[in-house]
Amino acid sequence: MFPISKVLNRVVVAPFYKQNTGLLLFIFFIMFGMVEGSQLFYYHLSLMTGIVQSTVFLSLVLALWFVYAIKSSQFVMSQLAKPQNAFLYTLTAVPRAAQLGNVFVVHVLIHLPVWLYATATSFVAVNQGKPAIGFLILAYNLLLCLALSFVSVQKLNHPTSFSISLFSRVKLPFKKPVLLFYVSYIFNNVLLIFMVTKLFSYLSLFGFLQIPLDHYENRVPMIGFLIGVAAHAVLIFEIRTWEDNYLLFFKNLPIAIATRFVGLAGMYALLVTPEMLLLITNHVHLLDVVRTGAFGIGLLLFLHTMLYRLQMNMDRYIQFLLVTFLLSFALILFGLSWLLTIIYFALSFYWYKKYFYSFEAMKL
Amino acid sequence: MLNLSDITKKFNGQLILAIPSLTFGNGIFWIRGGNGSGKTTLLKMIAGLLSCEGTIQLDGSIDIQKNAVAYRRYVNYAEAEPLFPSFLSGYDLIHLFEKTKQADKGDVVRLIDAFNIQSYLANPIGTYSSGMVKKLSLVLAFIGQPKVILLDEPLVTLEDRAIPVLLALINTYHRERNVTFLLTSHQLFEHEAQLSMQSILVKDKTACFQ
Repeated sequence: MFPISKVLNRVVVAPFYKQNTGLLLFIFFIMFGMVEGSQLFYYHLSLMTGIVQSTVFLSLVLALWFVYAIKSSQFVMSQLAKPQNAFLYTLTAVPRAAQLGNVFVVHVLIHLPVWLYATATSFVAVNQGKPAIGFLILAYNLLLCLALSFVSVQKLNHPTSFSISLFSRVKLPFKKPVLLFYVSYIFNNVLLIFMVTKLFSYLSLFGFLQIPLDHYENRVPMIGFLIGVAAHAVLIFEIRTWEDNYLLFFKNLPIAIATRFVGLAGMYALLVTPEMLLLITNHVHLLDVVRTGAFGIGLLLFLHTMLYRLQMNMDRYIQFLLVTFLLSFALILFGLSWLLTIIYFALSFYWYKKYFYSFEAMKL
Repeated sequence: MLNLSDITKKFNGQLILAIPSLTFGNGIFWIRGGNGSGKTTLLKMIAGLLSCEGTIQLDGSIDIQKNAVAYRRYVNYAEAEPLFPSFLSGYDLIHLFEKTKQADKGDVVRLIDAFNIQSYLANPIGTYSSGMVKKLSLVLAFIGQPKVILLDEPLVTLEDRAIPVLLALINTYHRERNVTFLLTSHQLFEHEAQLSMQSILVKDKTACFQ
């Protein structure tokens, strides 16, 4: 490997995969872990066929790849902007074409998960007599990588440009409540995780809502909702990490624990609003929508505060998530979701009160 | 008056600070000590950002744990190297502090004017230089009706012309509002400041008057 590529690989590509391991494993699990091994090939073949045959499906997938590319590009930008990586600007001494070539390799490597799936889908397209679709898929990703490479080279040569994301430039005509600090964080820093989570959550809930029943039964959408809400685990972990790193000043503010807790619940209520709307538009009784919403907010708060107790240990968090999911699943089937909601809220508040001031993230 | 008694602070089971008793009367205190001696830890404990064993009380009755909200209304803190979410604007934070610390709007405006930061407060913090972030954090530390203000390395990254502004504010708040200041600094600014300071030495995992 050329020296420049080697440096960029270490400074940009490796940290990208390291930082996004959780998210990539989560996507990998959704794509490959939830299907029986013997069915895996046919499952993905049918998915790829769907992409090739349906314009809507194809557009959706292209949009997802676009979001992935934008977020990965933001990561590249943030790496280039770090003070410890200031030495990278010495690369501007080499000709633009060479800069572009090296940066292009970086973007291709970061885009690798998409490339693998896109290439396989292109083969399927050619096999099914739609070579134009196959060409479109490959050309689209190539153009994405090229365009982002141009932007990165621009950043290398003009370090002060493009430093802040578009969302933070949006000015609101009112004083921003703390609740919106979290929303801003999600849109600015973890948009990709948010979108993947929401897509999965929506698909899960939508799928369960489509199950034909001969009588009204709220437990079925609630199970779909449980799966969707549990998928927010990675997003919650990111939010907690951000709180520990950037909201330390928040502990010095004279705000009662109960008020802080209500604010947190409000933020999670906002987060599950899209799922609530899906329930309403699918003729779920209003009281059940409220019950399901309260259950979801309780579960999200439970996962959030559990991380205090688990000292932000991801391995233990995943184990507890699994246990929580199985217990919740069983209690929902027994029609005891109301009890579960009370337990979630009570335990969350207890943990929040106990750990909010005393918690210190282990710095390794 | 700020009382610390039977304070122990451990990280991962390792003792960092042990202070049997320490009382800060009304005054300006210069917390001194070498790198890693525990100055910042001491300030963070007093600010309520780090937990510890023992008792920290303000005016004999406002306890950091039992009266967490009241205590935090009167004790303000500015970090040495403040870290704020880059997508928030300076105004977002000032409005939050103004509301929660029940500040007088006129005071806040005067602070903003004093540090001359109004021109960039509407921009995202990510666009600020470290000196601009520092000035914002100092403004936040003076917001409200503090009885104690903790300033960790207040001169670090601060531009020269802002230093007299800060020192004048410390003098004014102490003289006119009886605010107690606890400052850490590696720079010897005693003469420049003309502040009458008492010295506290943090050494050998404890803190005492020098």
